[in-house]
Amino acid sequence: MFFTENQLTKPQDKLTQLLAETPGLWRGNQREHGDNLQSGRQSSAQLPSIQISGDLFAVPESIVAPEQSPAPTQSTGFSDLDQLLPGGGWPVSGLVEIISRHKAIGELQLLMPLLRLRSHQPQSLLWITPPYKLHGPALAQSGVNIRNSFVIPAQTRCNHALWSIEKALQSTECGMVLAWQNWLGGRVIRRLQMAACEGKTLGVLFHQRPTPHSPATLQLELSAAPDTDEGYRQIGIRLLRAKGSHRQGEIRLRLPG
Amino acid sequence: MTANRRALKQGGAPFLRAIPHSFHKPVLLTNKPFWYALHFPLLNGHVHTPIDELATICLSVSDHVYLPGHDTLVIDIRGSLRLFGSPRGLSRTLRPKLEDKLRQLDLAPLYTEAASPSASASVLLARLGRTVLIQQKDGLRSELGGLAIDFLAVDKKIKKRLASCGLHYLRDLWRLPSAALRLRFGRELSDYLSELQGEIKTSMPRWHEPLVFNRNISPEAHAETPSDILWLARQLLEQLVTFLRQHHKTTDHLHFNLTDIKLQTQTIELSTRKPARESSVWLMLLELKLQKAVITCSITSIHLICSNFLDYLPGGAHPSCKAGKQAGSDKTTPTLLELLSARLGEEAIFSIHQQEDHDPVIAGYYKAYGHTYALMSHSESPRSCGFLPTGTQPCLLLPAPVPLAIQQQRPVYLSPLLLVRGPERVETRWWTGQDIQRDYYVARNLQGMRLWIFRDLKRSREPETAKSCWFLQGLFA
Repeated sequence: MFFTENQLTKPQDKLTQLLAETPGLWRGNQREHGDNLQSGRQSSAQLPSIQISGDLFAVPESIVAPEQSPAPTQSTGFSDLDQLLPGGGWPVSGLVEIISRHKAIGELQLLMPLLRLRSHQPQSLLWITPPYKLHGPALAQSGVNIRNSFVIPAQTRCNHALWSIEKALQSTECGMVLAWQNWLGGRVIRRLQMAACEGKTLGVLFHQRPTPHSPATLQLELSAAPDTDEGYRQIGIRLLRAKGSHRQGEIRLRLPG
Repeated sequence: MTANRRALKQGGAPFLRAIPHSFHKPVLLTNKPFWYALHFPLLNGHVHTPIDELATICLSVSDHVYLPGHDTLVIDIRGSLRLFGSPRGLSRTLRPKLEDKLRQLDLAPLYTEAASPSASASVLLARLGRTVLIQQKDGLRSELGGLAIDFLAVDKKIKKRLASCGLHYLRDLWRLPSAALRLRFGRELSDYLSELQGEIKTSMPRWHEPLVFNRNISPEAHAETPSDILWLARQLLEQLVTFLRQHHKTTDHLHFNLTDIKLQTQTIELSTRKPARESSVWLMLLELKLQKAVITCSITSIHLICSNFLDYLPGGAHPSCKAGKQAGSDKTTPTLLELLSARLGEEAIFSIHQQEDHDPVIAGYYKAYGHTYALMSHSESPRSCGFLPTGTQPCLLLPAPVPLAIQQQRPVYLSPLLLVRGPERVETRWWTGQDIQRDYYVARNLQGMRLWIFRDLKRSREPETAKSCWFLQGLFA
């Protein structure tokens, strides 16, 4: 069997070759980078104290995309997760995809501090097609204001559920939308993401399979992790994608209780 | 004659005549109120009292209809006597209409009537079945004097005290000085006696005809599509908005009746959580309802009925509007939950509730959104009583416990379960005969799922069911 040259070349080799051919693109000195900034919207005079050298990937993201102000975030209630997520917490609005192959591995526990906070605001919480019945006493025990929560049950048809998610995300009356769907295509997620941006609402979508090239604000994959020696529950969190950020990473988080 | 001359000067009707002195009956042409009471003894204890329908008939003789009780009507007929000549003439006009209505309501056409210058006296006499006409105020004392005190509408304790003093008839009370009566038996009795004699006015709730908006539109070209229906509905809604503005009202519920070419009627009910009188709100809700409705034939007529009205309060002044929230009476778009319930149905959106019970299935429950909002708007009942479970309970609960398989004496859910925490015993409902005796555990499987399982103690005691005594109740998501 014969192979062409392209097929034999590894991706790393191609990247090295590309970097060698265009040194100014990825690596450069301070002067070159300053020239680039001057050609951009923001002048270099606004960034006098920044020392840039070496790899461009080491440069803070705010400099790479200076025209974009950082999206407001809200602390997750877990310091490790705050460090993992760009902006230091959950986005205040937008779509968050949470992918977990199995249910009941602690996916709601992860959101509990946020739910506690949002449920006590005037806007209501909407739970769309949760896999099982929500247990009011347990939610109340966790500090969630159930008076402000409304549920569309799992028996609802998929098209009705999607319509409801979109309307809820577009609405300013809804503080947070939590929706469970087995899988959604990129186009649907894009539409929901636009709805969330329009209504400045936070939507959390629980999936079983990741959507490739998802336009969501944040895409996280959860996995089960063994309990700690003290008997605390743990969960593995992998940051797959965050809008406007190249950050990726994986942590293991200890859950309360 | 003065009036006649003046009318002729102004080019008015030349046939105006002065009323002869013989028609100047002292009671009939007085400006003082004259009360005609009707008592319907068969309405007492009727579940759905049709007093409103009877009161509507009474509006044909006077605008001033009062409702002192659910079985009695009182009419101020001072202005009507000029037309009907006398209370007897008025009674003769009213009687056939009332009797027909009572027959329509499957009731015997029986009622008693009384008329006098005192509303309380008229009501008392009508309730006692004494059909009398007392024209003069002076005649009240003598006519009422023979009535026993037991029939008076005063407190039982006062009646007992009067009886213990040897006062059994009203004439006994007439003889006593009113100041002494007030001092000894209280203001309630003395005021009631004054009302009976027509000295002070009786306070009674005035009856108003229920407001109903009922309009129909039948286009020459039948409505074939939802957009046709919406176009027609828009016209009806604009009429409704005008009606609401004229009456200074708003509404939170209305319904459309769509009649098709086969004369079958389909009702579409629309309701909002907060009252609204903007047609755009109702049109948006109707559009969503029409998306769900199945319309097979072309629509020949659309009927809009609205009977649930609320006083219009501008801005955020409506009681249902909390501070910082959208004004209820001035809103131009429906709320999210109204939109969702219009599209999905009111039985498709639920609110989460809890109650104090050790059985987790009963402790947490859903209630349909429509029912919840009706409950909250009318009684402001709390959605939870602040009950918190004592042990650890999961956020997701199965609708009914699912039996778990057993492998090597261990319960299995996808993989063998490891008991992490427990047991927590729950024993309840022993008084119902379907008692619960369970040991709850928090378990974990190899997939990392944390589950809430229980061991049914009743089943575990019996050899036949001992192997299938483990159940899955919830998931710690």
